[in-house]
Amino acid sequence: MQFRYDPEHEELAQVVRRFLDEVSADADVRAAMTSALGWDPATVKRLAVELDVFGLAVPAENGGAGYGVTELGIVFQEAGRALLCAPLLSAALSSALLLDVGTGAAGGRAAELLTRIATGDAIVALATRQASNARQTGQGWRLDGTHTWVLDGHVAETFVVSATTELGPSLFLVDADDRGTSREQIETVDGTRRFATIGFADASAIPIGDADSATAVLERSHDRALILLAAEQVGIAERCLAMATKYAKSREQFGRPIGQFQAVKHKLASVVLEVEAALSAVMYAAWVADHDAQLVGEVARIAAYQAGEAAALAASENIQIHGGIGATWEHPAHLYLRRATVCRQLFGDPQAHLEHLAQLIEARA
Amino acid sequence: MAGVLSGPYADDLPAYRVALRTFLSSPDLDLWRGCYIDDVAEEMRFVSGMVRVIYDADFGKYGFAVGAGGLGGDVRHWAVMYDELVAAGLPLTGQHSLLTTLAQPISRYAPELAAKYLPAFARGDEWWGQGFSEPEAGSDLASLRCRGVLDGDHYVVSGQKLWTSHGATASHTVLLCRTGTTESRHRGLSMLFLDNDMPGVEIRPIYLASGRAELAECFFDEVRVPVDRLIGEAGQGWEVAMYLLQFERAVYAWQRTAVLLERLGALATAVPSGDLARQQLGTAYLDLIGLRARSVETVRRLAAGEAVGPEASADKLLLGAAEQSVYDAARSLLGEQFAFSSDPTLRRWGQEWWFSRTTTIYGGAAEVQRGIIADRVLNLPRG
Amino acid sequence: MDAEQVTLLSASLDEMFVDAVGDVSAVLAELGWDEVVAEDPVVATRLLFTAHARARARTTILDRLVLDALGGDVPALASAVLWPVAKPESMVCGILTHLPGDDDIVVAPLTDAHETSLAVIRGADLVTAPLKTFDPTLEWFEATVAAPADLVATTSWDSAVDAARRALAAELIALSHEVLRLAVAHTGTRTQFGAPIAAFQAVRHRLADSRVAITAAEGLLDVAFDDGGPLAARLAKAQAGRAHQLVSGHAVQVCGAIGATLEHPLHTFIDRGVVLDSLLGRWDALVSELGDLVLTTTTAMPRLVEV
Repeated sequence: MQFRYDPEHEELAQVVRRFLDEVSADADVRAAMTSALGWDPATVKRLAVELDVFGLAVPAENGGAGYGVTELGIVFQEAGRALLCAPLLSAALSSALLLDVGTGAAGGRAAELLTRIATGDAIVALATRQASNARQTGQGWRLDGTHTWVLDGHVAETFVVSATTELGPSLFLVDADDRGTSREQIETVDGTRRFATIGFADASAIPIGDADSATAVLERSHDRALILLAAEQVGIAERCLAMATKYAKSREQFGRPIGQFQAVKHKLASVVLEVEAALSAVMYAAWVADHDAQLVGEVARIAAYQAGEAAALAASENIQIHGGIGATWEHPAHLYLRRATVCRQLFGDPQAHLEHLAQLIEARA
Repeated sequence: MAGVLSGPYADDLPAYRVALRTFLSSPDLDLWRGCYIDDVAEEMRFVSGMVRVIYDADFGKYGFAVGAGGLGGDVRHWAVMYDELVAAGLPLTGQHSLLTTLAQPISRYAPELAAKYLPAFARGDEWWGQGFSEPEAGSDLASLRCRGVLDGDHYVVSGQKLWTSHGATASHTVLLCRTGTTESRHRGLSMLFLDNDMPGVEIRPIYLASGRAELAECFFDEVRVPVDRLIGEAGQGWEVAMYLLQFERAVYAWQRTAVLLERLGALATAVPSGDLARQQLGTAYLDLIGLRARSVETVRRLAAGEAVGPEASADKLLLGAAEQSVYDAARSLLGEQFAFSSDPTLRRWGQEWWFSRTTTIYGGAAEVQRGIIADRVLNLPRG
Repeated sequence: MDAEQVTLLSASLDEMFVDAVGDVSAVLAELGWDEVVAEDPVVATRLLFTAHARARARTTILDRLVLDALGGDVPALASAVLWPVAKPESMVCGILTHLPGDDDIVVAPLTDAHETSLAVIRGADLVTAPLKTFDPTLEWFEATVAAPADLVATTSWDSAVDAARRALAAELIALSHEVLRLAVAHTGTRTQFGAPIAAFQAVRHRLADSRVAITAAEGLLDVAFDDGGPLAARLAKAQAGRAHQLVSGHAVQVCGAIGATLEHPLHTFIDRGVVLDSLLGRWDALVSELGDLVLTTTTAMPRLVEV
């Protein structure tokens, strides 16, 4: 089977790339990194209005464009390439999760949030890495717990929280301005993404979805996260490869472009192999996510592993090929390596993906 | 005459080690124990205080010529100093790297300049930059363009240098420049000793990807440097540079092993055990002791005044591998803490990991070192 | 020992080891080897095992080295070692590098959690079967003990292992040198794209990395002989095995198809190294043990090498 993007997909990629070239150039990225919010709100608004990226995979009846993971993956690939600073990943994951539990959840609150996520007006963050404790009281459900590394948690208006109840794992919505909610922004090696530690102390929560489906919903969310992040890592890798190749053609030492030396040439060739393998794995995973839910667990991990390796290798070799200049703060090479480093850890490291993959294969056998 | 004035430990390395170890354990040095400072300039300033205390107690004078404020001995005394500093929990930083690289060449090729200037450097009162690389001459050092034009009893220096370690806070620059024609390649180079406050010198820090300003870029606009500031003869710059690089590649490698062994120990206490940890930590330890086993021979040869030449490239390659082996183990074994690190101890791993990336770039990229071994050790045909 | 003596001895050993099989004690005695050992045991060991590697000889010198190191702990007539392999409980089994006669004495280490004792076995009490190894020229055997064996206490087994690891490291290093020598020779003469292939960076850098890996192994072996302890011996054998694997991989690649033929000598030095690496701990297993050491060390990491 050969995987190629359709012409419409190519066009989508072109449109997004042109747009991001304009709004996410090196200076824009550095400005966003040092800003309090972590992105430029005007850019985010334009992304929502002009490109509809936040609602891309949200059905039309919920205010979105109704596309699939493939199209979303293309956007993430471009976002990685441009080091885009925007709450894109949290939007894609929270909207998919709300759709999964049903828009009727929480008395229609899910539907309302979904519409506003799709227009870029609401940031809903997933606090599902750890579970809080949930208990039912006379005044409804209450949560206690701490959630680390909540993506975009520093400004989210609402959190989707996983919590343990007497009946097992469940999902809840909690408002950021509930008086039982606290948050603290945390630094990572990558300034292009923002994270916060979220604390709940007797915070009021609204349950969403059935108690017995929460685990499956979270698994599906995790699979989707792996695929989208893998797409982003392919974008990072492609961009690093392009930068390194361009530099190798123009930088001269010993009287010729360094790209003429096999040591450099072969490094680049090795990166090409990794990137191509990662791109195929990501395209396949996205196709599977859109067409054959049975296999998603496996292919998502293959994509995650392969893209994680490709981005790390491409970003490292980019620095080695650039020599001294590549190791400076001024040069963008390190920004890509930083983003790749956090991507590699965000939803489990490569080793974890391989172990999980082995378990899935064993379980299937 | 040198023998008359040299110190009691100049010829007695074991006794030097014992006495130094006792001295370094004294409370006078507690101020510096366990320190790690984020800001590079601040770190240099702070650690210089420690260098001074050790120098004033005479222990820091070994490995320096008697005529240059030293008490004799050789680079093996430095190797002992590095090991004992780390063992005592004391910092081994930029001061020591710069001395490792620059002190021997100036002593050998310009004893008069060494007599006048080296004591202040060895004492930590000041430090010097090494002006070799240029924007268009990195690994291909012999193509450098920074010019020194003879005008009476001065050289008029114009050009640019890049990647000068601690250049922004240095008092002097050891500068490799072209005094011959452009076509002369390595034959037309000379080494000069500049004061960084001479008119026409401008130095700006370069921030590294780690966020630390270790390096600098230097601009020279018709800087008038007296000819008596030549290190070696005019046209002898390449020879001086190659002599210097032996120390930068080999003795510095020993220095790093001392630090890296300590870091490996710290890493081992911070990570859970498991097959991957055993494999990666074991490999890093093997790499480090393998480097020491190689380096000890090189250090001894340099101490005996032998030329190590192209063989020092093996030390440099082993250093690059060992350095990256330790920090890649950290990156892999610290897991998500490596990426998500608000804690200063963990952030330090990240900064050092960045530095480890440059080990295969500075001082001649790994690719160039492999080329040297292929050419001059294995005598392979050239392309 | 001066350089001239070393060269002369090397030449004599090379000559002696051509087609040498089995016990070479008598020939070594004729060479006056005891005096060489008495004068400089380290140089003697290195020369002996280096020449052994060059000739790809199949003698009993490693068994002899271990038995000598065990000294008075074993009967003077002992002539073979039963090399330990991953061993089932309460049964002595292992590898013989040569087949002992019925009346020959074989020594086998038995290690439990606390200590090692030695089983002293008559050749007749062993059940043996030929063992196919990675090196088809070796005629080794698997053996299990059929009858109860006498156990003797020993305090020297660990140091005998150290000595054997150093000797194996010396042999592995020599094999790696031979592999690299063949690769340098081939790539310097083989012309493609109008130049010797050793002129291409992809080839040069592989060979340079090979050389550097051997250099590190040589340094560690120097240290192991100076130090005499178990940690240094383990490091030396680990790096020697690792270097051999790296050099072999590069050499096979740069020698192209010819290097993979039975006719070309390259494989003989590679095959032998693979087998020797497997005695007393493969390099990756030793690395894992080193990792354990790093993880369990609570004081400063052993620096092992001092100026």
